[in-house]
Order: sequence, then C-alpha cells, then structure tokens
Amino acid sequence: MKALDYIALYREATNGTKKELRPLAVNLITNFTDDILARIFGGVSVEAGFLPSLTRAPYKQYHIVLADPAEWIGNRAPDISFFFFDITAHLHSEFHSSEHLDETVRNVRRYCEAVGKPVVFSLPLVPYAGPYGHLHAQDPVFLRVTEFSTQIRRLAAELPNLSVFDTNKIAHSLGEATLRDMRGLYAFDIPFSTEFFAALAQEWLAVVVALTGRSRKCIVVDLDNTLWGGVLGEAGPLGIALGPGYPGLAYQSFQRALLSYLERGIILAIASKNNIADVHEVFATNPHMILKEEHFASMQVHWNDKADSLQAIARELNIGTDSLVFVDDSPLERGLVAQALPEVLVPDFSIPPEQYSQKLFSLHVFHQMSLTEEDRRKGAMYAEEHKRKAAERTAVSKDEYIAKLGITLKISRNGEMDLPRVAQLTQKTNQFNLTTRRYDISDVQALLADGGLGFSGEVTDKFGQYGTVIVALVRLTPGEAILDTFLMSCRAMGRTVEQAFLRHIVDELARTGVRTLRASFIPTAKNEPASRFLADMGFDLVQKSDAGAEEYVYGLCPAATTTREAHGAPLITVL
Amino acid sequence: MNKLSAIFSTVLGIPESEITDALSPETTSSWDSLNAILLLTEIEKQFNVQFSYDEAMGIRNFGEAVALVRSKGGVL
Repeated sequence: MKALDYIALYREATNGTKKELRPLAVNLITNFTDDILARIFGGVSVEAGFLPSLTRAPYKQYHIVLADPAEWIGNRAPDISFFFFDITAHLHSEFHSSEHLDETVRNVRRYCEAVGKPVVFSLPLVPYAGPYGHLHAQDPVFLRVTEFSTQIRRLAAELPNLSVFDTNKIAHSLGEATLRDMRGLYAFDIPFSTEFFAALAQEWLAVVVALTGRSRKCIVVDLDNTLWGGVLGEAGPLGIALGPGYPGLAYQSFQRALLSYLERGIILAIASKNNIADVHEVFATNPHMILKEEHFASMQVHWNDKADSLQAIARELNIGTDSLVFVDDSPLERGLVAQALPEVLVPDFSIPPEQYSQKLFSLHVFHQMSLTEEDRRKGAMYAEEHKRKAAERTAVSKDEYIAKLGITLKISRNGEMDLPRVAQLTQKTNQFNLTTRRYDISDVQALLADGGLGFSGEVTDKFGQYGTVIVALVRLTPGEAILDTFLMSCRAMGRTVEQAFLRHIVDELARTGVRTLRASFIPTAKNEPASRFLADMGFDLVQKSDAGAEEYVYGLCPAATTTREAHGAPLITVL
Repeated sequence: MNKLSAIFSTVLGIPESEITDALSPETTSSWDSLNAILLLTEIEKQFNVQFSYDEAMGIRNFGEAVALVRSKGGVL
C-alpha cells in the first residue's frame, strides 16, 4: 500500500466504518509537523487490525511536555509511545546545542519512568551531508547527533521499557534523496516524504504486533525454485541449481538467510510437492545444501494441497496458522494458500532468486521486544521435539511415554523469575492460556509489589531443555487467591506439566493459609486447548457469562494436603 | 482527467463523481492546509512535475490544478 492509501484507510476507520479493530492508545512525540506521519501510522495500524487513538505532543512543545511528563500523560496511559526527532544540518534548531541534547536525554528518561509502558525511540538520521564532505566525522552537527544517539542507547540499556530503533536503516533502503522533502521542511516543517513516514510507521507497527503477541513464528518454504533452482524430480539431487555460480549461489545465500532466521529463533518447515525419498536424498548427498534436514521442525512433502500441508505443520508445531509465513515461487500455490488460509502471510516471491533474502528481510513480521538466549534456541528445541515425537510413536501408553521422558519442572517464585521471559510469555502465548492477559515487565512487577505471587517453571527432559515455558500469576486477598494468569507455551503441551505446576501452586497456597482459589477461563479464538483444564483439575464452575467467560472456585484443604498423591505416582519431578 | 481526480478523491475522501472544476477549499471541508500539502506532493510525484511554491499555493480550485499540471507538460 502507498502512503495515500494508508491515509484514506485511517480516515475510513476513524469514521467508524471498520469493524473488529483493536483499540490502541499511542503517544507520539516529535519536533516537526507530524500530522501526516500520525495519519499514515494510523492507516498502517488499521491494516494490521488496530485502531489507534493518537495523542501528539503539541507542535513545537515537545520539550514543554517532556519537562513534566507525568502531567502530560495524566490518567490516559498510552499502550505505547514513539519518539522521533529530526536533527538536521539544513535547519538550525535547539538540538544544535549540547545543553538541549543533554536535557532531552534526561527528559526521555523521566518520560519512560513516568509512563511505565513501552517506549520506542527512533534515533535521528545521521547527517552525512554538510560542508565537511568526507570529513563529516568532524562536523559538529554530525558529532552531536552521534553522541546523542549513543546516550539514548545507553539509556535503553538501563530502562527496560525503552527500545531504540535505528532510523538510518530506513535511510539505507530509501536513500536520503527520497526520504527528505526540503520544500516541506521550510514551508510546512514537514521535513520528510510520505514514503519515509510510511516506512517509519511500518517499523513502529512491528513493535505493536510483537507486544500484542501477533508476530510470526515460522517460515514454511517450498523446495523447487525456492530453496534451490530447478525441479528435483527432473534434475536429480545433484542436478539442481545450488552452489557456485548463478543462480546456484543466490539459492545458497537464501538458505543461509533462512538458517540465520532459525538461529534467531524462527522455526523452519517445508511444504513441497515432491517425492519424499528424493528430498531425503538431496539433504543426504548434495554438498551445497546449507540447510540440513534437522533444521526443519516439520516436513510436509507429498502431492496433496499445500493449504493442508500448512495446517498439518501448524498442528504439529502447536502454533496457529496465523503464525506462518509461506514462501513459494509459484503464484498458483501462493494464491491457493492465500485463499484457503487468509491468516497465513504469503509474500510475493515471483521475483528472481537473488532478491529472495531481501524480500524476507523486508517483512516486518518477526519482531520481538527482546531476544533472549532462549528465543535463539527455539529452532533447536523444535528439532528436539521432532525426535521426541519419534519416541512417542514407540511408547505404549501416553503416561508411560511421559514417564520415559524423565521430565523435571523447576519452579521459580517472584523475584527468582526471569521477568523479561515471563512478560514475553504473556505477550506470546495464545493456546494454553486461561485468561490471555498481555503484560509487560512493569505490569508483572506491579502485581508482585501489590502482594501478588508469581510462579514460573523451567522444564527439562532427556532430549533437552524447554526453558521457561509455564507461568502463573496470583493475586491475593485475605483468605482468597485469584489465578490472574495461567499459561504454558505450546511447546510443553501434552506432557502433564501444567497439572504438576498447578498442584504445586495449590499446595503452596494452602500452606500459606489460603482457603479459596478463584480462577477464570476467558475464551478466545485460540485458547480452546486450555478450555477444560480447570474442570479437569477439580475446580467447580460457578458462573458462566454470556460471552462464555467461566468462573471457577477451588476449595483448599487447611493442612498441606497433597493433591499430588491423589493422582498416583507423579510423572514429573518437581524441583 | 482520471489520475488527477483519483488523487483528489483519495486525499480529500470524496467520490470522484463529485470532483468538478469548481471544487475548492470553500466547497470542501476536507481540503484543509494539511491535505493541500498532500495534494501538492502527490501530484508532483505522480505526474513527475515540479511546481514553484507560489504556483502551488495559488491553486484555488480543481480546474486551476488541472491547468497547472497541463502547463507543466503533465499528461492527465
């Protein structure tokens, strides 16, 4: 979509003609006329299913607003705030004084502390153009901007709710000439083109998508003319185009790019119409393959519909089809998938192979608020899961299988918890989630500070580590406890981990004198897997709202009773 | 005429059928200063023409915009 279409989309949405948009309160702080930026961001948000209510710092008053951020924010806390200042050699501004830059850094800190919610600071564009030519590194404006950016980065390392975006990334792809509007700067104080605003808005929206748990998790690739050139069935495992020369090198580079995605935690899967024996042979014998069979968490190689393959992949990986990106060179296959499964992202790959990686890099759909060590291991974890499934097929009963896995659950409480991971799980978990409440770090901290309890569990089995996969947040009132949040990452489902975890929490609450535990199940489009959990665990349904939300209670025995023994020998070792 | 009226229609949020030479900021509430800027930059981009600031700010209605684009060699 073009910038103008976004503006039109936002206008239609604010006129109330769009339905089912999720409200989003946004604060925008810039030092130029940002009406057009705001409208384009609005349209970009609407396209992704959000209806933002934008509050902008009044024109040329950002520094006044920032002098007392708490007053400006008032009681309308934004879900997210965006900062972007243009500091240019072309127009002299207060940013050319180092006092103002220092003051701004201090104010950004105060703003972040006052707002508590996520703040994105897009760094100013580095002014390479100016009278110093290739000695730009000695240009005072250049120096101030780089120093300012360094200080903001330092601040972000310190403040968990502040993330920094390097706007120069956009300058790299659009070019300075395309993104600046010099007449706009002097005539209207709109220093940028609508193309730049659209690119900036896309970057910002990626954060919103990540915060609300809508980032994509898995890339599903076709094989012929996608991972390699040519048709395997015709050319044979060593005859396909892969490796030195054109186009083999381009395909090989695309494989390397996919491997990098795997290493940052994106799952890879295959949906191909081929003979599986031929595909095994390519992996086993072609020396130019960068990707190995073990890199793929799911392989659907047969002659059936690709839409079916994508659904099978989603089922196997326990993720929604709306977490998938489908990469296929064939417009026919892409069209069929897009029609059958509109929630799958199907980028246009009718492009030459040398553009494949760029195309993938340009998608704004894999963003995460932070990348933990655990995220990076996710690809490997899914590969281990593949092996576990093989073990499952040889086990006799499910319990026997679970016992064979040798699962241990290590529970951390309150301050021992890995807070960024806990917040991330609330943002990302859709299926096994009783209440689907999305929290950032500050929300979790607030709950704990309010006397609440937090539990998180790390799971290990004989095949490897799952990491922190299960979280419960409990609010306490005298004699009663409320299970505010109970969720588990889909990668740990089907192992009775959730039962052992809840039993442990129940025991611990009973010991501290809690007599009643209240819990609710709030249905969403995705959390069916958690729908019967409370009833199965012996909770009593006391109320069901028209919208389907269910309220449960569970009476705790006074002594530290062991609900554990009632269920026979534990399959899981709790540490 | 289509390309120019399409730009006006998208920017001002009015159907193309309502766009006549007499369309002006006085008759159209959405033709405010901000949308005037969007019209200017979009017309220049799509017709690959450049207006001087005075020319652009002197446009009083759709008919004058048509004439100005034509005078710059833009093909409507």
